[in-house]
Amino acid sequence: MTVLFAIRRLLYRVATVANAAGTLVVLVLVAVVNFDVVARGAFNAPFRGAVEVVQFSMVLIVFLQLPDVVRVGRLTRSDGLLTVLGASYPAFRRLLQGGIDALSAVLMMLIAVTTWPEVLDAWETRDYFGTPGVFTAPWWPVKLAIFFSASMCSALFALHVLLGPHVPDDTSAAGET
Amino acid sequence: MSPLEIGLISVVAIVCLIYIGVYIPVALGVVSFVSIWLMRDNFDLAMNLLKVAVGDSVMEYAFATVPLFTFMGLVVSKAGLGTDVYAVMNDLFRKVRGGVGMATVGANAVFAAVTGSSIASASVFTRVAVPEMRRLRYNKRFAVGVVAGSSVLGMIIPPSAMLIIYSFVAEQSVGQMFLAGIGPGILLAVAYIGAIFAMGRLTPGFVGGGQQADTPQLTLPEIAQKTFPIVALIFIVLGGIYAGWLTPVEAGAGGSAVALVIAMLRGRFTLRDFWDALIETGHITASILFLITTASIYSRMLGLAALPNELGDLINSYELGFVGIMVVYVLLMLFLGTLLDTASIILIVVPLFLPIVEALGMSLVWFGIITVVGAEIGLLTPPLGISCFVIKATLDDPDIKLKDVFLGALPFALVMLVVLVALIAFPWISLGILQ
Repeated sequence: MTVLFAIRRLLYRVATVANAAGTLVVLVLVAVVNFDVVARGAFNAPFRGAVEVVQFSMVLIVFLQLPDVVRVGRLTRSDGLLTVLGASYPAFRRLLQGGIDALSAVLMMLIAVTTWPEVLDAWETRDYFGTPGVFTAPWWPVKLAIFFSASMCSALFALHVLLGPHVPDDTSAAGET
Repeated sequence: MSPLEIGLISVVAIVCLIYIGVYIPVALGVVSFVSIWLMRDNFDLAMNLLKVAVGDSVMEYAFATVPLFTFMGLVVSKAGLGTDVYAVMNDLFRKVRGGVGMATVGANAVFAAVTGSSIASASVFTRVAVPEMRRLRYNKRFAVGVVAGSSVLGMIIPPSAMLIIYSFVAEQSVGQMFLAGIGPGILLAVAYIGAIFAMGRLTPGFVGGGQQADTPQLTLPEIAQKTFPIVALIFIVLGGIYAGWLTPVEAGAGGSAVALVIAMLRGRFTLRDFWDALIETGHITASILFLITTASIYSRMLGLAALPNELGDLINSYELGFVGIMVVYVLLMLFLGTLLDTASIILIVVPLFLPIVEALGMSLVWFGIITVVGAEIGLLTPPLGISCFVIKATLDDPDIKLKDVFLGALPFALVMLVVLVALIAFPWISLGILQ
C-alpha cells in the first residue's frame, strides 16, 4: 500500500509539473499569434511558421495538462446520479466510481499502446510537418506528448481504482489508510 | 448483428453511460472503439482509428480559439469587468420595476461578448446581482431565476465554446458561427428584458422589489471609465472578425493581450490571479479538446455504421416535412437536455442529423444556432440544469433551495423556447449578418 501511495505522490508531482509546462505554452500561444498579427499588419512581414507553431502548442497544451485534469478529477462528466446515489448508498457509489475509473484506465492504456509505435517511427524517420523551406516542426515531440499523456492518465485512473477516489493533497492522502 | 444495429445500440449505450456518471470522453471513446471493433470484426482497425483520431483532431488550427478565448474571459472576470458593466446597467434601468433584473440581463449580454461560458457568467453574477436584488426586497426565486436565465447568453453570444464545438462537428467556420450568434443573442436578451417588464406588470408578486435602487447615480465620466475597456475588447474581437481583419484565432490572441493590459492597468490583477487564469485555461482546454477528440472517434463510428444516412431515410419515409422534423428535433433536444450537458448533446446528436438538414437544403450555420439554443434550454431545467447547480453552489444561502432556482428559471426557459421557435421560423435572424 505504502508503495502505491509513494507512486501516486510521484505521479501527482509529474502531473503538476507537466501542467505548469503546458500553462506556459498558453502564454507562448498568445505571444506568437500577436507577434504574427503585428508583424504582418504593421511591418508587412508575417511570421511564416505561425500556423505550425499554433498547432504544435495546441498539442502540448492539451496533452501536457490532461494528466492534471485527471488528477484533480475535472474531466467532463454529469455526476447528478452519482451524487444522488452517494447520499443513500455510499458503498454502491464507491463501486460504480471504481468501475468508471477502471474503464477510463483501459481507454487511456489503449491510446498509449496504439501511439507508441508512432513515437518510435517519428523518432527514427525524423519526419516533420509544415512546408519545407518555409517552416517545419518535427513530429516526434507531438507523438511523445500524446504517449506520455495517455500513459500518465491511465496510471492515475488505475491508482484511483486501487486507492479510492481523488484526494486534493498528499498529506490527507496519507491519512486515508 | 448488422452494423446499423450495433451503431444504434452504441448511441443508446453512450447516453446511458454518461447518465450513470462515466466521464463523457471515456463513454464516447470506449463505446465507439468497441463498436468499430465488433462491426468490422477487426481489433487493429479500431486501434488505428483511435490513433488517428487522437493524433489528428487536436492539430486543428481553429481549436486555438478554445484556450485563447477561455483565457481572455478568465482575465476579464478576475479584473472585475463584469461588476463594472453591471453597475452601469443598473444605473440605466434604475427607474423601472424589475430594473435590477433587466440590468442583470443587459450586463450578462455585454459580458457574454467577452467570455465563452455560461458557467463563468452564472458565478460572477450570482455574487453581484443576487445580493443586490435580495437587498431591494426582490422575490428570491425571481432573483436567482434572472441570473440563471441570463447566464445562458454566455453560450450563444460569441465567443462561445459551444459554437466552437459545433463548428468542429459540422465542419463550419468558427468565424461564421460567431457572427451568426450575435443576432439570436441580442434577440434573447431583449426577449428576457421584455418578459421581466411584463412580469413586473402582470405578476408583481413574483418579481417583488417595490423599492427603487438607492445607490448614487453614476456620473458620465464614471460610466465611460467603466464601459470603455469592455467596449474596446468587444470592438477588437467581434469587430475584427466581422471586418475580416482577424481570424477567430487572431481575435482571441489579440483579445487576450488587450485583456491582460486592461487588467494590469486597473491594478486589481495579482500575479496569483494571472497564474490561476493560466492554469484554469489549461484545464478547460484539455477537457474540451479531449472531449472533441473522442467525439471524432464517435462520428467515424457512426459513419461506418451508416447510421446518419439510415436515420435520414427513416425520417424521409415518414414525410414529416420541415416543420415535422424541427418539432422532432426540438423535442429530442429538450429531452436530452434533462439528461446531458450541452457539449455532449451537440457532439452526440449533430452528427446524426447533419445529412437530414443538408437534404432539407437548410444552412448548417443556422442549424448550429438552433442546436446550441435548444440544448441550452436544458441548462435551466431539472434534473441536470448545470447553471442552476452553479448558482446554488455559489450562493451559499440556506434560505434559497435548488427548487427555488429551478422554479425561478422556469419563466426564462419558456422565453428561450419562444425565441427558439422564432429562430427556426426566421433563419435571417441568425444569417442576416453574414450577407
